[in-house]
Amino acid sequence: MKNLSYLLFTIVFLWASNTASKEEEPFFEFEIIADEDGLPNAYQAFIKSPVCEKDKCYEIEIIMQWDLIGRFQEYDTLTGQGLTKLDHIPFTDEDYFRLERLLKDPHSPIGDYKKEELILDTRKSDIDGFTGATIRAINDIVVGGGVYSCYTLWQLANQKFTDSITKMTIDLFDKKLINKMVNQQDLAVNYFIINNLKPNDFLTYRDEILQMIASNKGYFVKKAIEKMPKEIFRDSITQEYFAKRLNSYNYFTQVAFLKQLNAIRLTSSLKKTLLGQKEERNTLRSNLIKNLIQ
Amino acid sequence: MDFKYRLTLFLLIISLLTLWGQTKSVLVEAESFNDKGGWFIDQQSMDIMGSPYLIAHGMGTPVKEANTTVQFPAKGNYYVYVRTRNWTAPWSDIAAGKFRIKIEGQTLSKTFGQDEKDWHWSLGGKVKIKTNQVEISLLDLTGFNGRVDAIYFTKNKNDLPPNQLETLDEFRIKKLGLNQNPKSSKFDFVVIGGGMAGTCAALSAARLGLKVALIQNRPILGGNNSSEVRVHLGARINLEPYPALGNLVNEIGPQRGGNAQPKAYYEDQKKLDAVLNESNISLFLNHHANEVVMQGNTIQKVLAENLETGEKLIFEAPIFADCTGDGTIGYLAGAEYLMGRESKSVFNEPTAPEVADNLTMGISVQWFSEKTSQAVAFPDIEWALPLDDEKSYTITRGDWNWETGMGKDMIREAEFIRDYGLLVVFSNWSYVKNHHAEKEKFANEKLQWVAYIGGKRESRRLVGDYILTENDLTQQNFLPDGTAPTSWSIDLHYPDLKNQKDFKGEAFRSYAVFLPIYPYPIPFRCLYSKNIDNLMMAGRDISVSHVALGTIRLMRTGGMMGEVIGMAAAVCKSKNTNPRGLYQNHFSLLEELMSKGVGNPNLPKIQNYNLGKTLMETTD
Repeated sequence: MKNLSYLLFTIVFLWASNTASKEEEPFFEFEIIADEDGLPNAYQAFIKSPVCEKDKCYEIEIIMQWDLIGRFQEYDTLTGQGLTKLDHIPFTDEDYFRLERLLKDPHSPIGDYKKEELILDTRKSDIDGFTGATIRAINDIVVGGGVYSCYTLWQLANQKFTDSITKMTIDLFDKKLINKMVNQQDLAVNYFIINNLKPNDFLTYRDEILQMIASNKGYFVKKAIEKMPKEIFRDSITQEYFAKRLNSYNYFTQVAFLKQLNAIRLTSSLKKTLLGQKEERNTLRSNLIKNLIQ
Repeated sequence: MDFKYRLTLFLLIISLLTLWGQTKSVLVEAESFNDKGGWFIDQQSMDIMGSPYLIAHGMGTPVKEANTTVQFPAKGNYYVYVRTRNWTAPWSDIAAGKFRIKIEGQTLSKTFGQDEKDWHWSLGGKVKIKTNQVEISLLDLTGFNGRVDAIYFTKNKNDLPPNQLETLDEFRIKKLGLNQNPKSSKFDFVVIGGGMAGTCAALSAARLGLKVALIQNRPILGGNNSSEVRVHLGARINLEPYPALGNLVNEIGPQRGGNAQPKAYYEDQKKLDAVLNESNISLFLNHHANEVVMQGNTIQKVLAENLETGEKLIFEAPIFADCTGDGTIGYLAGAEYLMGRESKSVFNEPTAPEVADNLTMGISVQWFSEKTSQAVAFPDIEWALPLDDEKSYTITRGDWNWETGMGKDMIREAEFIRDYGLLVVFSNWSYVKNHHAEKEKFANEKLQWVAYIGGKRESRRLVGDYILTENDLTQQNFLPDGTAPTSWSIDLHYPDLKNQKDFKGEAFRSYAVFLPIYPYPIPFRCLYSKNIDNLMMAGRDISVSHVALGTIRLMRTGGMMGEVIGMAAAVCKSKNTNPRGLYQNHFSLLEELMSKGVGNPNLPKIQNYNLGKTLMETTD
């Protein structure tokens, strides 16, 4: 595999009129980009896609790049062949900046609309009505005169290939790749891992899972505990790990952990930790502890 | 005649005269008219001015007349007094809401609604009543919110009815012959307020087997999300740590989002059907709860008044829920409450002001117009606020940021605040249609809808065993009694400074300041009163600081709170305890119920609008 840093993108964005008469599926070629250690690092695709506006279609050629969990990273255009708007007016620097910002927002409101809804309605408001042809909800985030191009590119960047990309990464899971991903210390990547591991994989990657748990708070720890198979908690190393940290977890994470311990033999240090957590009030946590240390 | 005999005779004559005086009068409450025509019942200020009243909300077109037939005890000449007010008097010498009264086919010469600014009895002259069945009609003259509370017929010109709240109530009971021993019914759980929070509270408890009364002072359910106010639902449901909470909101909430949209967007019937489908719920629409009977710190009974007839009903239950928004039941019961802004020193909140004040967020009177195929006129109103091209707004829809009353008393001045909302909408629209340089662009625009029920954001916050603050939210101080997660940003509104300057300190436009948060489970101790033993709350009147109110006030969050207190009521019943007892001794049962939820988990998640910019952990 090639090293990403050595890649030169030659990306083409053609606005060739009359190249297509109807909206067709995009043509694309995918490539895995590797890092210096030869591990998968990103995906890139050369894409040819039509952009249709009323009865006219144009073809875009572009190279896009995503990370391992399908998040759009960047695009580029072919040297000397910049993007243009209606009437072949070239994109300004501000237009490029705006397009990049749009494509990098996977939750952009543009995703809430169907293509035919981008220009419609007559009701106006100073909040979320319309100013001109493009609906105001997206007017400020698209390139003026290029709403359909923006829409098509956003779909390509954030929806069209996401499932394929994530499936490819899951197929590539191994100890080295999981380790690399865990060390990215990225919460979304962490969630991606725990959401896509099979129950037995949690045993295989136990050290990596515990490493993720150690570097996170919020609900991630709770979710990770809930995803982990019960077998992991039989292990004294796992129990010791949690015995040391349990008091620092929030109430809901503690409850999730205690639920996993049901009918499991506990180490003495974990029992001691639990004894210290006993409380007068009748709560799910106190009931679970009571049952565990009886 | 000896003195004793003469005294007895004198007293007898006095009594007879008094009796005659009483029977020779008739009180007609406007809200009890058989046919209300185009007039609406407005109950929003009845706790302050004494009664529901009829309002002619025609948006500039006089509304259809209201008619009723009244039984008179005797024929003859009667003086006519009408309880009304001139609602534009605080801003203009010219009255907006004028109306006349027709009695037995004869229209009184007096035009009402143009005299005093406060509610008063206006003498309308003398009429000759020739039959015992008398037809009375209310004739709206302007379509601009004329209002009438009651009409009093008396043979004695000096028999001016009382105007003070206390005496007025007695007068009404006496003259209307209202039952002073109202019917009493017992329930497991009585919910007051039929907004999203109250509706969900009632549904939740009913699905868990409780006999529930749901009391709502409007003819429909939904509160701010009803077609009367038209605010869309906001914030997120189905969040950790209780992802099943919110399925109920998903079940009954509208599919489409948007403020100030056509009526159908708000799906009133869907909410109503959900309640009607629960055999355990007794629904009391058009009933306003305005009295409580206490035993120590426990509410024994809540009394609610039928808005049309004035008849009261008594509701008895071991547990009550205040989902009124205004904390009305808590206030009547003597619950501790907060109002306005706490100073920074009270809760050590970074966003709080250095000095406490009475600033609250305001009421929205939203509106919109629609384009028609031909030009539509709108009256060039003389009582409008002074506007010019620069101060007016050339728009066709008024969203949440048409907001009035910030800094006023949201309870005592509610009518004034709503009226100012109406005044500015009509003033602006009149200017844009008749005077603006771009008026031609608006020629075909027709004012389609203006709210007359104000969308209120803030008033009393009842104090619980815990007061949620900004620091809890921003520091993610999760507490073991966390329940429904609040997820909307801390979203606080302030008067728009330019607008405030343009309109002499009385802003009607606002801006919002957002502080995004991670979802935070609201502690159960915020959902019951600190000093009223059997009172829970859901919605915007829970136990929070002013700053924390900025996030919890969203309606999906309120609906989830309702779901939780409905569950809590079920636990209270099964363990024969009160909310504090539940917190101390049975909280695990509530946790189990929250894990399951009471809504249908299998319905598609259709409410993908107005979720807010929550700081979310990416989970997939």
